Amino acid sequence: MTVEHAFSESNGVLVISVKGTFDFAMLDDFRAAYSCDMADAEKVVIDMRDTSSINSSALGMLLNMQRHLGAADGEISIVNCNDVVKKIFEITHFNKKFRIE
Amino acid sequence: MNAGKILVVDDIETNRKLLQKMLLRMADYSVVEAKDGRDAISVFELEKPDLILMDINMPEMSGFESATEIKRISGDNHIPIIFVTALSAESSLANALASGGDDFISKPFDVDVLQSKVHAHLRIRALNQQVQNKNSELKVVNSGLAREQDLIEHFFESALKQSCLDERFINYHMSSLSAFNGDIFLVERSPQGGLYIVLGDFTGHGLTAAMGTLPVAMIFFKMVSENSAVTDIARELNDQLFKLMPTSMFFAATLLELNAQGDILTAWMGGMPESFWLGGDGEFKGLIESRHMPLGILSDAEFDAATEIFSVDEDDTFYLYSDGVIEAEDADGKMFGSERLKQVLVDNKDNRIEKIINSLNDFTDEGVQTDDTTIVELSCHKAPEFDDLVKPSAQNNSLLPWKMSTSLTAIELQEKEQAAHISEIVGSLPILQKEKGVIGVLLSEIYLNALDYSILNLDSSGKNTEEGFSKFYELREEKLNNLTDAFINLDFNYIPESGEQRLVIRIEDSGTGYQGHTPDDTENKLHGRGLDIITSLCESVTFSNDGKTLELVYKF
Repeated sequence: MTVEHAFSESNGVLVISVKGTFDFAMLDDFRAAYSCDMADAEKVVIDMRDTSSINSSALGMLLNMQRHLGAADGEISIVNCNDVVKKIFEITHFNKKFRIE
Repeated sequence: MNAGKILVVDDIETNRKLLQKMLLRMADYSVVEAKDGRDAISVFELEKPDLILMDINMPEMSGFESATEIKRISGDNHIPIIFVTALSAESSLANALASGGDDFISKPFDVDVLQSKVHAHLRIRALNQQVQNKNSELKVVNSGLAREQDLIEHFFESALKQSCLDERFINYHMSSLSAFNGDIFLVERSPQGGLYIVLGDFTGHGLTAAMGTLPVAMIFFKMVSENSAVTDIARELNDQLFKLMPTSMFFAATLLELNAQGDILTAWMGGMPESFWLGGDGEFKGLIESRHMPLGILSDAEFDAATEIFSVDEDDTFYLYSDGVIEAEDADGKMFGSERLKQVLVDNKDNRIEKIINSLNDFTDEGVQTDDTTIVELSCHKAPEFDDLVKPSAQNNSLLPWKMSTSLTAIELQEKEQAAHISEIVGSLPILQKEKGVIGVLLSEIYLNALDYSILNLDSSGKNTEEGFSKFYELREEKLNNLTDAFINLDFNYIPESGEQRLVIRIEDSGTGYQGHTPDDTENKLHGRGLDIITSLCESVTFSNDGKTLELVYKF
């Protein structure tokens, strides 16, 4: 279980990859990922290709991030979700706040 | 050792005997005889002599006719025919050679002349036989090679088979110096809809260079099917090639992923010429440049798999190419160069690949191609409906009902990720494998509700602020560490019934009970979503025993 982030300076895109189960055990790592190097980020992308599952505490963490960054609805993209994760975002209407791909 | 078999053809027996006697005196020849041209043919076929001494004027068939026929029969197998003649007219001699004879000797014979001629022609015959033998050996080797080449081509064809060459996204041109190409270009779409490209160039040309494309293709296709990230694919390729290839060989490559939404391009590039990025109106937007050494040079520990990320727009295009394009030379040895390439791209609105090829051909004046050349155009769009790309796994419709249960006491409740461990066990049953994800979510939610709110009696209302959120988890950890005398019981009941399958999950805890929080309608609430998720996923959700027991029925 890890959180990795890659920031592309030339394009101002911050990609945060969450690996394994996304829950409160990742709280500190996840917060660290969106708190640093952020001055120039024009776009934030959460890559969930390696996220096996999420639970409701992860949803809270995502909202925390959005609030922290002052991002408008739909400004942050969540990409490469598996079917179950996608379903949870649908059930909880997270697609109103994030761009789910 | 026998010095060779000689056929003497003459219609006069005394002549034959005379020649035979002379020959036998020269060396250990074996001598056979024929009494005219026609007889010579049958004796030739029967005895297979190494050399023929042939009279010209004979009844039945003349020496000329007989020689022509024997030469025809023997084909590539060279049988020297020396005409024995009393004629001295030049026209007859010319006839002798025209009919297929190799030499002639005049009567009366000079023994020394006869000996040296016979000897010389037998030597030519021996040399010819050597060549014949080598030729047939070569033929065997050649057909073996051709067969091997067929097999190898089959390998390459199967390994490099493209499944995703939708021309809305990908256009390309590839030309190689030999049957096997050291350039490799692969495209594949992942189950999540990402479009992946690898374009690379192995050191050298031909089969040795092409060898490396096999492991690259296998790793690439496998990892794309697993939705791997570009950085992970780069690392794996590097590691495998580093282990496989001799030091002198390496693989310059560009790895790209265009996400399903078509707006983010992730790139890893090592040792390849820069790629051009153009906007939908043909304007130049930037470059993807090589930031790394080629693959297969650095050990895994030294390797840098960092990728670059580009935020792209619909209809943006990227142009990737192997160095054969910009290193193509004109008659004076001047190179085509990347500036010229960029100019062609910017000057043209469409069919840019074709325009590049034309421009290249004009530049090199259709000269000799000196390297494999590949040009690829990637157009950025959202992926077409990719749901059907996901292959459904085989359904296992067992009709056997079963039950399963577990009890966790304080010491087990203190362990992290217990819900995940339990769903791992339950989800590993073949019948539930497809539902593993959902079961994992359900278990995680009900387990945490029971533990956090019923047993630990935590108050979630503080979670609405960011500080409260982390404070909640600090308090949780503290209470959990001090936990004694508590339990959570979990029962699973699998019920297959007339085509429908249900899993009943029952959770019971030793706490004060929990029945969910009062609904909080704002979209921004940071907590209280767990129950929404459970209710949406399940057929029924029933609390009992003051909220200490919860029963879910999940239908699938």
